[in-house]
Amino acid sequence: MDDKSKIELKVGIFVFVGLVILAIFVFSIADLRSFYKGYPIRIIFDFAGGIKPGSPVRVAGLEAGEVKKVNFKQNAEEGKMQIEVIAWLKQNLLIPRDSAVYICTLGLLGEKYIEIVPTSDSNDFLQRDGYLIGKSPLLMQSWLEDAEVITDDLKEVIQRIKAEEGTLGKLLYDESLYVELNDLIQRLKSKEGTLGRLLYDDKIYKELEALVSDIRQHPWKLFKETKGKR
Amino acid sequence: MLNWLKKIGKSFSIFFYFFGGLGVLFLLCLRYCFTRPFEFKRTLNFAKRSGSDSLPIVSLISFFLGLIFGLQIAYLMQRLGSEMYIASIVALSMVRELGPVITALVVAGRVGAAITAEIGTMQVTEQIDALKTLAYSPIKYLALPRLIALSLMLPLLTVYANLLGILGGYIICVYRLGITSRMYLNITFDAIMFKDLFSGLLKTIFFGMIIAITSCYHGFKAKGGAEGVGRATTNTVVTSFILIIVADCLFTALFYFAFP
Amino acid sequence: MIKIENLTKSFNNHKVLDGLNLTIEKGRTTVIIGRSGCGKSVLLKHIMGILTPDRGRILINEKDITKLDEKGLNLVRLKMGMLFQGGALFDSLNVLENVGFALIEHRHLCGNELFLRVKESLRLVGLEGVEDLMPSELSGGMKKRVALARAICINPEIILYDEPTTGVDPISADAINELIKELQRKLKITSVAVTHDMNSAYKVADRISMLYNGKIIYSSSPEEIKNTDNPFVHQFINGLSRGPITEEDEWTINPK
Repeated sequence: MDDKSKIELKVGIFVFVGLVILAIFVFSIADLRSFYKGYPIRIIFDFAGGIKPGSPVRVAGLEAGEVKKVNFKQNAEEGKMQIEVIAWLKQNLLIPRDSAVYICTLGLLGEKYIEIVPTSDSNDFLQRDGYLIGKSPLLMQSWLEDAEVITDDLKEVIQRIKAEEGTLGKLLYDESLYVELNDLIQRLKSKEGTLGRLLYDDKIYKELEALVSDIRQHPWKLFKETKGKR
Repeated sequence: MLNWLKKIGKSFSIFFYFFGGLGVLFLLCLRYCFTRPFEFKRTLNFAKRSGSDSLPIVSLISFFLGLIFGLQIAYLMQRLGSEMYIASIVALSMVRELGPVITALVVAGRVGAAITAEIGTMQVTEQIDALKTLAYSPIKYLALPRLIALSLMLPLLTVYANLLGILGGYIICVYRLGITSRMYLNITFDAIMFKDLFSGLLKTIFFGMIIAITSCYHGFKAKGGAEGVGRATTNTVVTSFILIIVADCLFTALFYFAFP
Repeated sequence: MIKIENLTKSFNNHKVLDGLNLTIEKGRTTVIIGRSGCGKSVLLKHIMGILTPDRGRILINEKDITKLDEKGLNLVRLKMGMLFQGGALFDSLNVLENVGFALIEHRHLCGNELFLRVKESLRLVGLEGVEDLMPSELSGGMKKRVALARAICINPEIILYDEPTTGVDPISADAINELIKELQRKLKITSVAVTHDMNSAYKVADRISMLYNGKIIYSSSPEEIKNTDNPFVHQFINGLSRGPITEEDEWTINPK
C-alpha cells in the first residue's frame, strides 16, 4: 500500500511540474502573451513589401505589437487589389486615426517591420479593429526605374554641355565671353565710357558732396516753393 | 530470377505483416480502451516507470544537447556577427524538433526495449497464454496501460527536455558570450510561437504510441527463449527508431505545408 | 465432456495436428502421451481456445468453442484451469496476486475474502505461508504447485495439465500425481494431462491416449495399454530406442 502511494506521489509530482513548465512556456511565448492585453488594428497597404505574420509593429519607434495576419483585400470602390494587415497592439495605446504608417527594414537580415508615426494634434483615435491607411513603401524596382530615367537625362545634359550647346555649354567651353569681359574690364579701368568714369573718376562725387552740403546749410532752398505757397 | 522475385515478395510480405500487426494491435488497444474496468493502477505504475524514471536521462541528454547546440551555433553566428540569433535558433530547434525527437529516441531505447524484453519473456515462459487461460486479454493487461502511459508521458517528458535544452543554450550564451540573461529569455520566448510548441508536443503523442505499439508487438511475437527475446528487443529499438524518424518527417512536412 | 473432431493445425506448412479425433469423458482423467514436440501442448492450447484450428471442431459441453468470440470464449475459460509446463506464474505479482488473479479481475474480490480463498487453494496443493513471496523466490516444484493452486482457485470443471511432472524431482512429481488424483476424486474435475512420463501416466490416468503423427492412434485404460500389441505404443511405453517410431529417423540410433 505504501509502495503504491509512493508511485502515485512520484507520478503526481512529475505530471504537476511538467504541466507547470508547459504553462510557463505557453504564457511566455510570443503569440499568447498578448492575449490578456491590447487590441487588434487593421492597416491597408497598396504594397505589402515583405510584411508577414510575426513582423514587429513599432509606434513612434518603440516596439508595441506584431503582425497577426496578412490578407488580400479587394477594394470595391477603387476596384484594385490591396493588402490588409491585421496587427495586434500589445498595450492600450491611443493612436490617432490619421497617423502615418510605413514599412521599414531592420537589421542585418533585412527584417521588415511596420512603423506607426502618430500625428500630434488629433482627437480622433483608432478603435478596436479600426483602419489605418499605410504609405506604400517604394518598390525597389520602381526606384531603379526612376534612377535609370534620371541617369539618362543627366547623360544627355552632360553630352550637350560637352557639345558646347546652350548657355552652360558655351559658358564652359566658349572663351569669347571671357575675352570680351576682359576687354570690358580693361576699358573700365582706363576710365573709358560712363561706367568707367563713374567707377574711377571722383569728379561727380565731389560735385554731389558739394551739393549736399549746400543743401544742408541752406535747407530753405528746397522748401522755397512750399513757403511761397503758404 | 524467380528466386529473386520470391525473395522480394517475401520481404514485402514481412513488411506488410508487420504494419498489419501494428495496426491490429493498435485497434485492439483502442477497443479495450472502452471496456471496463480501466487498468488505472497498472497505467499509473507504468507511467512512473516510463515517465518519471526516464526524467534523469532525458534531462541530461537534452541539457547537453542544448549546450552543444548553443556552442555550434555560436561558432557560426560569431562569424556573421549576430550572436543575438543564437537564442532563437536554440529555442526553435529545441521546441520544434530536437526536444521531441531526442525524448522519443531515448524513451524508445530505454522503455521500448524494456517493454519488449518483459512481454517477450512473458511470451516465451507462457505467461501470456496463462493470462488468456485466466480469461484476461493480454492486450488489455499489458499493451493498453503502456500505450496510454507512454502517449501521455512522452509529451510531458518533452516539456522537460525543451526546458533543459533551452537552459543549455542559456548557459553558453550568458556565461560564455556575455548576452544578458534577460535578453536571452526575451529573445527565446519571442522566437517561439504557440504553433511551434504545439506541433512539437503533438507529435510526441504519436511517438509515444509508436513506441508502445512497436515494443508490445515485438514482445508478443517473441519466440525461442532468451535469444528470441534478445532479437525482439533489438527489433523494437531498430523499428521504433525508424518509425519515429519517418513519422517525424511526415509531421514536419505536414506542419510546414499546412500551417506555414 | 470434451469432444474433438477432425482437428487440423499446421505451423509453417508443417502439419502438427492432422485430423485428430478424441473424446474426453466427464469426471475422468485422460492422459495423452506422445513424444516431445508431437503436438501435445498444441492440443491442450486448442482445448483452451488459445490457438484456433485450421479445421475441425472442439465441443465442450456440446458447445463449439472454435466458433466463439472472445467474450464467449472467456466465459468458457473461466470454467477451465490450465497448468503450464513451467508454471507460467506472473513475475511481477506475488503468490497471493497470482493465485487470486481471476478472483481479483473477474469476481472483484479483495481483502480477507480473497485471502481466505487463496489460502484454501494453496492448502489444497500443500503450501502454506507463501502468499507474500514473489515467483522468483520459489523452487521449481513450488512454482508448479502455486500454478496449480491458481488453476483450481476459480473452481473449474476442467483442468488441463501440460507436463505436470516434468522438471521436478521424483518425490515432488509423485506429490503432484497424488494431487491430481485427489483433486479429481474430491472435486469431480475432468482432467486432461499430457505427458511423456509413463509412471505419472499410469498413476493418474483413467484412460491413456497416444498421439502420433498428429492423430490419436491408440486409446485405452492403463491396464490394457501395458499389454498392447500396437508396435508404436509398445515402443513408446517401454521406452525403446529401436522400433517403428524411430525407423524414419535412423540417426537417433546411429548418430553420425
